[in-house]
Order: sequence, then structure tokens, then C-alpha cells
Amino acid sequence: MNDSTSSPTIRDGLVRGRNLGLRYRLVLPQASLRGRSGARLGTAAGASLDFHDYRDYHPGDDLRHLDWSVYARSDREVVKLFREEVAPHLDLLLDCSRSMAEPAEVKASAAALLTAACAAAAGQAQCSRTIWQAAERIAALPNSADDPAAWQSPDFATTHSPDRLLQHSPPAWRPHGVRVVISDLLWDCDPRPLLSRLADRAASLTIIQLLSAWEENPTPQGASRLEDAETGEVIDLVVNPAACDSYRAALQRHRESWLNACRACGATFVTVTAEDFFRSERLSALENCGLLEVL
Amino acid sequence: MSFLYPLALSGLALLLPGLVAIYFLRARYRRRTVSSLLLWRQATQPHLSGLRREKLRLPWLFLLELLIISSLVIAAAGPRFKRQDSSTLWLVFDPSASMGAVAADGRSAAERAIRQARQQGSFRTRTRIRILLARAAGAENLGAFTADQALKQLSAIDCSEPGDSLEATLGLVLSMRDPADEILILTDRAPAVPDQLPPSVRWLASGQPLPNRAITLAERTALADGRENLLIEVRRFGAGTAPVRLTISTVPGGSAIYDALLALNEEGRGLLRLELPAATPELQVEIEDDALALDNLVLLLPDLPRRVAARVELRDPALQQVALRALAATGRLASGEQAAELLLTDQLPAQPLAGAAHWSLIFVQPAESQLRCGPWLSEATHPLLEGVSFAGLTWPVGTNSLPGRALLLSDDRPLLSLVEPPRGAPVLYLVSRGAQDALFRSPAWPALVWNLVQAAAERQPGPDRRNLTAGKAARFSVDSRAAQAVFMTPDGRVELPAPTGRIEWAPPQTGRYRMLLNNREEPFVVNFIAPRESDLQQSQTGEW
Repeated sequence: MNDSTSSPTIRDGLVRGRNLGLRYRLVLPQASLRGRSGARLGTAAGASLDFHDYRDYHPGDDLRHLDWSVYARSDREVVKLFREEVAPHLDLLLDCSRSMAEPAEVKASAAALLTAACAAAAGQAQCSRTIWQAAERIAALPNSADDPAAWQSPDFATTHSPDRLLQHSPPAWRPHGVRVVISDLLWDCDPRPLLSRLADRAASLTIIQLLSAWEENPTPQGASRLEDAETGEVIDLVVNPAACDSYRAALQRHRESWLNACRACGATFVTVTAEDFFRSERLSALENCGLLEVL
Repeated sequence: MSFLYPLALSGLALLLPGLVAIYFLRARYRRRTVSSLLLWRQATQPHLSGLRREKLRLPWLFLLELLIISSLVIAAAGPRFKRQDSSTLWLVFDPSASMGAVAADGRSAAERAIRQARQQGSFRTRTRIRILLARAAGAENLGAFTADQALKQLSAIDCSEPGDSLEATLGLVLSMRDPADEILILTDRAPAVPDQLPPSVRWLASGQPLPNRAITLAERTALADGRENLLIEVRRFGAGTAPVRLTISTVPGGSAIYDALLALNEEGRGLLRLELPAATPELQVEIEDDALALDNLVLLLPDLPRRVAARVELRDPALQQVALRALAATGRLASGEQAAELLLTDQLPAQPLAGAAHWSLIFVQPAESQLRCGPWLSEATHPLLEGVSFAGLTWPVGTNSLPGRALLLSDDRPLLSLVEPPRGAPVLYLVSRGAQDALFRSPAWPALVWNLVQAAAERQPGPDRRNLTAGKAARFSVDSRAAQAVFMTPDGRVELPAPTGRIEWAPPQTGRYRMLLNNREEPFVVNFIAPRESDLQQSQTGEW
């Protein structure tokens, strides 16, 4: 972290995201929701008061759950199972590489907005959360359980893409939790093994690709010397309509590879445009993909 | 299109490389930071097969700046668009006779000049062509024409002038033209000072040095008893000194009074003198045809001195005798009863003498006279004093003054003065005590009387001479109270205003003319006598 708390744009993103997120609730997948004992019903049998199922008695079962009525009628030892009460959890990974702050800071602000909105919506769903920052290493935001407006502003300064960190030193994801990754995904890697690892033991996985409007649809700039924000590598290119068309085609192929990989591992892939969040009072893209629902 | 300041265009040569250098060397690529080159790198993949032609990769901004710089430089250069209605080609044409000389190919210098003019780019592109004829007497503006109209005008020009006024006409055009206009001169000779031609002037000479024979002098002067003297000079310009066949015949009738080969001297010049008997009619003098036909024919009318009706009214009988004797000595007194055209008297008129006579000479007695022997201050250039010498004379000078303009003075005392009203009869005043004056025994007196008779004769309606030379002005008097002079020319009728009763006019064409008067006609002829124009050896071809 740095002194980016003074950055009004990212700070505004956090505040605006918190306010937007309070209108939503994180959608929890019922089929595979697991977690610690908590306030929400899980999919497995547990210790709640809600009846779940019957099964034959096995030695060691709690005799208090033996259904004596069934035993009296059928001389069978049947145990009543009750619904499990779980505490769902949101693991949200925010890509804090330098590319998230380029080509304009509006992209970083949108990333902060999305993160804050998801965190606030998770709170609305009585869901615990951990916000992970993928910087030089993947680390949890210290006070991510607090109000997002009180967070320290993320520092988008690292020159590493999060793919290698996720492969080799993944964060301590909560098993059966809801996982969300916010990044521009402008990495040169095969998404399938990465997504398999992310989706492993996850209740759901949502990949949010955040790009600026110019990155979505670049316009001709003439002869340009393009510099990679992270590596510093440069290429000389005449950004003419043909080059822009070629870029858009490459972006389309890139997105299709991520979409196919998401489908393969049951993840959801969402593309959002940074500028849209500052023009609208709704998080339509996240509603449409089923990540959030309006209260 | 032309430029007022063409040097400003050199700015284009300086600015354009600079702009190109800025784009190609320094600011060709603009730095832009992007999130990743992952997708852009795919946009720069080289073509698997080379393109046949690379597209222009300069940004539109470069083209816009190029356009702006070019526009600024061109504006600084002051372009002048020669629109159809604003540009003028001043065409100065030489209508002298030498332009009509026909070469061996059957074409005249004028035809070659017109053909050369058509090949000029400025002649084709300019649709406003102003034609000026550099006539011998001065420039004549034919008007502004289109290219086609100008060609028709040029083809219709009659080249018969006895000279040209190219330099004077060029000076006139230079003072009148717009700075962007061009001047084209069509002639058959080189400019007088080729190095001093302005840049916008093109001088095209289309002449050829051709051999030519010409009648360079033809005079018919009166002798006593009605006889005349005929003087003819023939010259050969180029092609040696071979004799020239000369034919002189009368008109009408056509009987030849001379038909022989005229020998020429080593300068190519031959003279013929003939004495013509009295009453010899019009003569036609011819030599053989050659390149220039205009100078091969001369018409000569009989031109005897005109007679004048004179009346002498002097109270002093001796002075009366002196005057009558001097008048008779001129041999030009008209016989018969007719109104006096010249009056000699010693009585001062109470009323103006207008209408009484053409001329009057009034003898005035000097008051308190003193005899002086000079010095005399005379207006020697006045026609009345032509050939009159007062040297050695004694003259009685009085204290009284004479009216009008003094022609002869002794100190501040006028002895001879002239009153010449615009349309009235002139009066000459002469201080004299009587027949005993030395003046009447000196040669100055008959000479003065002759000039007086000549002046009275010139007042008679008609031309002052009958054999005129083209390009030289002659004096014509009209009938009293006539406001204009009317002439029948070889190809029409000409009317000229004559507010003073007399005009000076140089007839433009050669040939026979008639001056129409109240009840009669006065014939005269105009001949082409112009040795410089006949000398075709001076013609040349060139461009300056």
C-alpha cells in the first residue's frame, strides 16, 4: 500500500462501489455451498433444526437423532438428518498490477468500485469475505471485513501479472466459497490450468475482465510508440484503422479462449467496461451474469 | 498563374523538408502507454507475402500541415490568377509598308508575324487582347478582342504606313498597362535598343532582308509660262546597281512620255529630270514590280501656283505703284472681276475686315519717326518672313504702336505686326512713311509680297498642294462658314471638323483624293515616298 489513499479517484471508486453494493446481495450457489457452521443452510446434513433426510443408523450416530417412531412401526433404526447451517464466504482476488491503472486511472477506480460493490453485496448476503490483492505477492487486504469505504486504496503498481502467483503460490481460498477474480486478463498464458486451479473446491468462480473503453475499442492514433505498462517493452506501430481492427480481432480471440476455459471448469466469465460504472447507477453486467441480485 | 514575389516560393523549399524531417526523424512515433502489448503485438505481425504497394503511412495531420504551409507560402508569393476577364495581352502591330513586302515564298512579313503570334502561348491563353497599331503618325488603338477576333483584325490590317512608331507606342503601352499584363510586338525590325526592353515585353521580328526598287523622289515644280519641271529619283536597295526600267505616262490617255532603262550610280541611285510642257496632265510614274509594290508607282498632278485676286487702295500714288509692281512680279495675280483675296491699303479699317478679303496689308504712318538702321528683331520662323532679310535696311520708326502680334521690332517699337482672328481674315500692319522707304528698294519687299500672296492663296478652299506624301500632313482650307472638311478617299469618304476654317491632315492611304467644296472639287494625290521603308535590307527575323 502506498499513499494512494490520497487518490480521490480510487477512493471515489471505493465509496461509490460500497454504495452500489448495498443495493445488491451476493448470489450464493445452493448446490455446492459449503462452509463453516454459520447462519445459512448448507447443502449437506448438519445441525440445524430443518429436516433434511433419513438414513440408516450407523454405529456412532447420535442416538438423539434416532427416529423412534419409525423404529416402533417398522423395527428399523433410522436416523433423522437435519440441514447443515453454513457460513458462506467470498474470496475476491483483485489484480493490482500496473496494467490495471492504464491507460487511464478510471480503470483502477472501476476495479476498486467492483471490489467494494462485491464486498458490500456479500455483506448483504450474510457472507464473510476476504479481499485478496495480487501485487508482488497475493495477500489479503488487512481490513477487508470492514466497510469498503474505510479500506486503504489498492496500489496498482506491481509489474507482475497474477497468473504465476496464482499457479505457484495461490492464496488460502476458503473451500466451497464463492470466488471472484477481477482483472484485465491481459496475460500471455493458457487459462485452462489456471482456471482449473481456481475452481478447485470452489462453490462458484466468476472471472470479471475489466477493460477501459479504449482497450475495448481502440481508435486510430497515427504513428505511435506503444509501451507496455508492466514490462516497459515498446513497439513502434502505426495505429491506423487496420491495426485497430487487428487488435479487436485479437481481443476477441483472447476473450474466447478465456470463455471456453471458464465453460470447461464451470466458471462464469464476464466482461465489463470501466467507464460504464461511472455512467450508470446499476451493476448490470454483474446482475446479468448472476453474481449479484437486487435486494 | 504568375507571382508578384516569386522568391517567397523558396520558403516552400525550406519549410517542406523541415516538416518532413519533423515527422520522419523526430516525431514520427508518439509514445503511448498501454496495459499490455499482448494484443497489439498481434496487430504488427508481418504479412506472409509482401504487398505489391505499401499504403501511405503519413498521418492526416501531416497532410493538413503540408497543405497549410503550402497555402501560406503561395499566399506570400502573391499569386496572380490571370482570369479571362482580367488579363490583357497588349499586341503592338507594325503597320509599316515593309511589313507588306512579299518574300519568295509568297508570304509577307505581316503574315509571318501573325502566324508567329498564334504560336505564342500567351496569345492562346489570353482571351483579352488589345491591339495597337504603331502608325507613323502615332499609336492607334483598335480595341480589345478575343484571340479569334484579334486574328481577324490582324489579318485585315493594311500595311502601307510610311514608317512606324513602335518605340513611342511601346512607351504608351508601358504607361497604361497593368503590371501583370504582357506586351507582344509584331514587326519586321529589331528594337532600337534591345538591351533596354522591359521583361514583360516580347519583340518578335518576322522580316526578311529582300532586294527592292523604289521611287524615292517625285516632284513636279512650276516654271515660267506654265511649264513644269519633273524630278524623279529611283533607288535600288540590294542586288547591285543594274538599270531600272522607268515608265512615265499621262493620265488619262496612257501615252508614255518616258519609257527607258534608268541608269543607277554606284550607290544604286538614279535621277531623271524632265521639263514638262504647259498643260501637261496627270502623270503616272512606274517602275517594275518587286517585293514591295507600294513604292513602285507615283501619281503626279499638275500643281501650278494658285493665283490670287488682289486690290491695292493706297492714297500715295508712288506707293501704289510700288505695291502693284511687287504684286505683278509674283506672276500670281488673278485676272478678271472677282472678290479681292488680298487687299493692300493705307486706311485703318473702322470695322474688322472679316469677310472683306483673305488677307490685308495695311500701311501705317509712323508718329514722330526716327530713321533707324537696326538692329531688327524678327520672328524668322513665321511663314510670312520666310526668306525675308532685313539686314542693312534703314527704317522709319515711330512712337505709335501696332495691334496684334509683332513680327518685326526695333527695340520695343513694332514695325510689322499681325492680327489673326481664329476664323476671320488676317491683317498685317507695316510701318512705312511712303514709297521712299528703303524697304521697297530691297529684296525683302518682293519676298514679303510673295509670302503674302502665298498666304492669301492658302486661304483659298482646297489643299495647299496637290501632290502629297503619305505620312506627311498637308493644310486644307474649307469654304467660308463651312464647319468641316469633306474628302473622298480611295476607299470611302472622310469628314473632319474644321472649326478654324483650316485643318492639317495626313491622309493615311496612297492614291487619288478629292476635297469636296461648295460647288467644286479639288483633287490631290498621295504617294508613297519613304526611302527608309523601301529599304528592305534592314528587315530581319528575331526575338527579343
